[in-house]
Amino acid sequence: MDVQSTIKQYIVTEIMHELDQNVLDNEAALIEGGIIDSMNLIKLVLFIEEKYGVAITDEELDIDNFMTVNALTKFVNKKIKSAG
Amino acid sequence: MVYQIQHTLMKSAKRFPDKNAIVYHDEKITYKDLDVVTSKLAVTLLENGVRRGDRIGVYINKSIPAVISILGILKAGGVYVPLDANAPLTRLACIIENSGMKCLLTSTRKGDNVQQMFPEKNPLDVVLLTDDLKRLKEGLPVKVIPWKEIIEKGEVSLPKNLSIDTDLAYILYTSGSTGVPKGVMISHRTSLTFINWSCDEFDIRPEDRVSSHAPLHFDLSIFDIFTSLQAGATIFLVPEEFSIFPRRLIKFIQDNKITVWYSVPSILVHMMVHGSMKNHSFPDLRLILFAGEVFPVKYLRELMGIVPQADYYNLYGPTETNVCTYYKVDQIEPDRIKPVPIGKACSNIEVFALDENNNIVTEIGKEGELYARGSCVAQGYWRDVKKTESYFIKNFLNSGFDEKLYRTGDIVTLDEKGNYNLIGRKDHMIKSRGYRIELGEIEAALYSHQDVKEAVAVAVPDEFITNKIITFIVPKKPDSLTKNEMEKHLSKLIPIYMMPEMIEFLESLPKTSNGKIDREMLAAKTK
Repeated sequence: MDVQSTIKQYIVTEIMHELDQNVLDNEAALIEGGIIDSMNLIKLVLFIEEKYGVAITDEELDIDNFMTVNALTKFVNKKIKSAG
Repeated sequence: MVYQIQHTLMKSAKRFPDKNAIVYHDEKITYKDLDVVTSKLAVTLLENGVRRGDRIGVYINKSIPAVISILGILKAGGVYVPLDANAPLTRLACIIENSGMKCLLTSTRKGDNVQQMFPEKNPLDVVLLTDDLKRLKEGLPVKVIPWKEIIEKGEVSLPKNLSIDTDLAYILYTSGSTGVPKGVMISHRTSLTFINWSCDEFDIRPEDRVSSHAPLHFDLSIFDIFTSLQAGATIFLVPEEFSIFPRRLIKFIQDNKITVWYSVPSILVHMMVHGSMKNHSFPDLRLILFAGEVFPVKYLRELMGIVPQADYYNLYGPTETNVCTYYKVDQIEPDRIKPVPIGKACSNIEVFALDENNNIVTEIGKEGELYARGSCVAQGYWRDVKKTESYFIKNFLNSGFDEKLYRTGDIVTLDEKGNYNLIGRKDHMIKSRGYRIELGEIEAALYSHQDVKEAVAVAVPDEFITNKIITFIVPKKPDSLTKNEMEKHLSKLIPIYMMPEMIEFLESLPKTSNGKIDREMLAAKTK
């Protein structure tokens, strides 16, 4: 599964507790929409770090990288590329 | 004279007309402008039939219009009911119906949810939109008034407000054990008791720059908004989208030169653990207040090293008493592991602990349940006489006087300095991330699923968030339920902070010798 689908699946099933991937639009506001709170944010970061073997720094833990599924995908792809 | 909480604004608007009252991102509003626009809103509400004592909902993400809404409602003599903008719609519908509100202030984006909440019959008469868009996507069968119509009103004069200090100012809904949230009724007098005390005790001044992190449906917001207005200070609303990013919060405090910070401890811990707070300096912070949950001592000690010049206070009080005790943290003994005390009573308040024989605890270290009396105590629960009578009891220690005692359900001990220390709960209410949660509400939500035979929610202590919630479910038919299905079911009924950290399926629940579910054994199972 590609990065986008993996992240989306994690958010939909583990954070939103839904089954249908269509409930979450790739451009939906994850933070402002109240989907991700401070606990879930850390859960999501740990998931990404473990899944892709990357380390997310305190500076990268920022709204710009976590705003939407699309923004998060772009950020994670960049991390994977620079790690590899 | 200040005898209602909106008078704090009116008084400060005369003293500091051109001073900023609220700052949010790049938006600012001065005291004078805030006073004018809230009067316009109040007049609009009155023109639309709002009367003294009417409950009016505020369903908007934190913003300047959200604060304007609250103050406008109060000026009209109404009672504001803040709704959690991110709560599930079924829960919000329940609150709207329970409060009996006929009027709601909301944004266009949130307003579209109202139709979904009430697919058949909508209890609202009027919806005021706090942004410039004129119509809702889904046509609501109610009168809709756009913001523009309110703010473009000419000069208004506020008619004489007939309400008095014992009238309700707001109703805050908290978790209820039967699955229906309870509305805690707070009068102007009760709220002002806290506002005046906190303004004096912490010496909040016009030059203070006060952060507002707590959501408006959380009673910490009363300090942020009204104590600041009382002092003529400036309120800096923490944008919700920044509130979970530790670095943003750190930058927010630094860039805005925040002098007073008030939040639940877990958000401060979040900044230390995930934001490397220790690598930053905060020269402007003079006061850090925390409340709502236990501050793990090792992190409080670390914070006091990072911001050494600030004064630290632990504030304690269930929503039913606003804040009733406080403790100034001067220094923490290096070997202390126990949380800092909740301290002593605030002004105009008396607290005491009663042992199992209803005798006042005076012995050091002896446990008792904490009771509060005085003008800090709420009026009771909205439209729930039974619950009100069981928690707001007649003061049996002073029979003959018509006064109430609030039974907190918190077990405390006294220390040698006369400070109270929090030991735990008497019932199944717990704290997690500063939110109070009735485990019964989660259980009621679990039981509402047709395939659940038995269910229980237990709390397991956690270093970061005070308690983790674990649930155990016995399905009617083996293997007929999945974790995901249960989570989906719960997410429609309870807010995100009540969601269990773990769901486990069992064939049966362990019972104690008298047939009750053995919660202790289940909690121990998770360790």
